[in-house]
Amino acid sequence: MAALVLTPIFFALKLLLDAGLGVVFGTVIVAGLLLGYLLRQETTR
Amino acid sequence: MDWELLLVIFIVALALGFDFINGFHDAANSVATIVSTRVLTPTQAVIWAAFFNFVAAFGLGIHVANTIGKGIIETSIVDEKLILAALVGAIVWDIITWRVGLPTSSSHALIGGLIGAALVSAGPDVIIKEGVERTSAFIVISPMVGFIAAVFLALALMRLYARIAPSTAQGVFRRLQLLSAAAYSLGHGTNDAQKTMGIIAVLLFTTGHLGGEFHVPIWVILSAHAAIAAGTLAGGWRIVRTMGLRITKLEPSDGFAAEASSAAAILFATQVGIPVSTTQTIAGGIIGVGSTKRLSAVRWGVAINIVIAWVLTIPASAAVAALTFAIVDEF
Repeated sequence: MAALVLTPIFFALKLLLDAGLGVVFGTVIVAGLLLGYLLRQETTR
Repeated sequence: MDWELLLVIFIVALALGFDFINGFHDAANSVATIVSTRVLTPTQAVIWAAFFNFVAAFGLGIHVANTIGKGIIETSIVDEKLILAALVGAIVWDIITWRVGLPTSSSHALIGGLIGAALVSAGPDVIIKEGVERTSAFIVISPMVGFIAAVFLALALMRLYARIAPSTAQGVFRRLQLLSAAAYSLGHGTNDAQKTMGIIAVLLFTTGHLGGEFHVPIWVILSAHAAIAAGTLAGGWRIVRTMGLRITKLEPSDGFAAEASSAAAILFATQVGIPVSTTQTIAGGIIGVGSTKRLSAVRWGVAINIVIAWVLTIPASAAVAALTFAIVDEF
């Protein structure tokens, strides 16, 4: 289960890193903030 | 008496002392979740973590050591005084933050120390922009990836939970957490010990004790891992309390998700040669699993204090190192 969840995340991270530091930085920040927002919506219902 | 050789030996010992403090200061994070979930007692957890800190010496590469050794500042300006100042800057900052119980990054303190000493020694042109940029970016990327991975893993485990009796599931995760804690300690051991290896190797290289080509001798690899493992054994319970208990309350499945995702993030960074803060990454993982319960489950006051310390680490350690270099350069 852990491998199934984590492997795609880190595969995507490697692809983003290959695309450039700015790309991985921006994507990770946006994804983290979006995830935080969605969690807030879900957990405050 | 060869005073120059004595100075090199002293600085190597100081670097290993820094590694020991790193173990004392940072490696406690390796055991925080497994202690807070009561899978292991503090003593068992510390021995478990120290063992895997040392085992990490074998087979995980030296990409991070190469980055620290020749990827942050130009090796041509490195000498004993610069490395001494960098180490003093990092150690002083580590001790200050340990005293106030903030889990900051020894890794970034070391990089800040190198930058500060290099700036005073030779000016900004000797700073390798790409290496500093990658490392600085990962100050943010590393905990964010730990957070994202932990959220997805915790949510997946929640779905799995729905099909299994809670007591059975927690029993399984208590055992799995032994593996995730071991993986985290491997990641911590390899990423953090390699920073000391890089410092020692570049010192030996620039003082002519390493031959014509930069490399990391096996005795440096083994002694760096032994030092960090010894530091872990010595403990650091103030920070264990901050990381494991004060940020959010954890169940064994939460601990597993936080550790497994953080371990993956650290091992990933290690393989691409980026020095990251193991402290920041596990903090991101713990906050991630806490957030899947409810955002108010995360004690944001503690988390914000940690973030403030992260932001201060490189400038503060750079300032101490710059001052130290200015003083030792007078002799």
